[in-house]
Amino acid sequence: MIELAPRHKTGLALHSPIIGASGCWGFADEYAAWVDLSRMGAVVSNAITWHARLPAGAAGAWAVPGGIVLHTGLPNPGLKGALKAFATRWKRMPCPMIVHLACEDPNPTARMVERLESVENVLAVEVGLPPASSAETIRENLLAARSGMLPVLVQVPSEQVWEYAEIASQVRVQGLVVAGAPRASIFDPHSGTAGAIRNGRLYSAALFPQLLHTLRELANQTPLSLIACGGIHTREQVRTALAAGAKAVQIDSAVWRNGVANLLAEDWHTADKE
Amino acid sequence: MLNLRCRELVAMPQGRMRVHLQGAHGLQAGQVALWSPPTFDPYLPITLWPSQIEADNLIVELPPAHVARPWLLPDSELQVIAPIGKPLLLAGNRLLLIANAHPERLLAWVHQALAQDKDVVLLLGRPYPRECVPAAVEMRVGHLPSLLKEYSGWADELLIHTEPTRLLLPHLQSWQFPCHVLFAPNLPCGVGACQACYLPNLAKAHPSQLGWLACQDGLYLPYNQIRPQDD
Repeated sequence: MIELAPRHKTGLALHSPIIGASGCWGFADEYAAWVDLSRMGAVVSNAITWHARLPAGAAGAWAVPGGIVLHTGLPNPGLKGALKAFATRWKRMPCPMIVHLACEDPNPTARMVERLESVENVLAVEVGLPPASSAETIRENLLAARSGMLPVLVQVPSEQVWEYAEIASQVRVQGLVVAGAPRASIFDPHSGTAGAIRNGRLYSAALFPQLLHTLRELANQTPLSLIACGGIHTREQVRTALAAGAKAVQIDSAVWRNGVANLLAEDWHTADKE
Repeated sequence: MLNLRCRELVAMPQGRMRVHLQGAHGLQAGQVALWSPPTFDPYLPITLWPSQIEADNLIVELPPAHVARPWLLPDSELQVIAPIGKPLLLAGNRLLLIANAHPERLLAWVHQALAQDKDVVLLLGRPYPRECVPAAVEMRVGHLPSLLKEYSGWADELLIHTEPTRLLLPHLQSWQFPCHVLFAPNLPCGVGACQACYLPNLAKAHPSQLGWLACQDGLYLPYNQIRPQDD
């Protein structure tokens, strides 16, 4: 087993280091027909907020060379709706669930974590914050999440790695998810408006070298568990990320392409021991 | 995952190509397959739009210079995610198909309707090779709103694929018969996970109350229940 929260009272023990990343695998078992979820260490849900959020007006995915820019606006039914829609599915998942909370204000953050504590098979929360959040916002939300009983992972944006790492260490959350899909903008030739720009997040296999660089720098600087995320597609990349200091990896857009059977075919337990 | 085998490539007029694929079990008109080539560019999975479906054989028509062409060789194998989307059953007997950009995406309906002895008219906003359409189909090219007006008294079912999607919606205010609009966004996942294909749902009838997920609820959606954005 891989323990991502060794100092936490419940711990966060996973049987595989392969985790489905938030934003790519849906809210629960959307990939059950295509992926053997029982071989996953966990799946992180799409972002859930305190109140329901409608899809972004200009939601969509746009192809860029070697990647995809995706914009959704984080649509979700809100925590109450999510519990109604997904709690039973989370319970029946063949692997543990980690619920990603899109946080902004500390009070709802604390309440969301508290509500999730009693949900079966939800073993941890992953906290995501708005772009360019202030140190105060980061700290207050992490403290709020930390006040609950569940282990807390923090999604660290590539633009604020060191700031997040420092605050997360001070607040003593359990792990850092480094660094996911960075924010990106593209020119949209189809909008009919000169100079129109679409904003979103960039998913690409080309992000892996950047991830590895960040991971190697961070590994010596923080006692927190590191979960590598961004452009991981191959077993070799998983091995490289684990060797660079990650305890687990999150698979993002690889699941949209030819699935992740190649990653799940490996017995990572055995590989670890070797 | 489905494993498709490329049986044959047939050159069509104006540089088009028809790819005959075998192994498409369960795919029905209105549904598509998602395929990622073995390289990272294009990274976005390619949507394979059936132009014809016969048992487990699938014909996909590719326009000239389509990004998928370099990989589609005889006997090549394609691992696809399919079926994506909901099948749609034709309800009427006089089917009007309208397209301004990719008429080949509607051709599966042509073959299905003809097999059911329905009458089919294809209205196009741009020229398209007549040889690509069965002779039994009446095909007209011109100003789509005018053509729609001309044929609206004849048709009792309408399927529309325009870019932008909203193009003909204002002209459908008094339409009384089944009408579905093909909403064809880029589909990174096709299983409702990535949420790239959400459309606001005017009827608020969807259980999630968030909108239509095209890859789950579509790809054909009722014209009077969608509000396409800047696509």
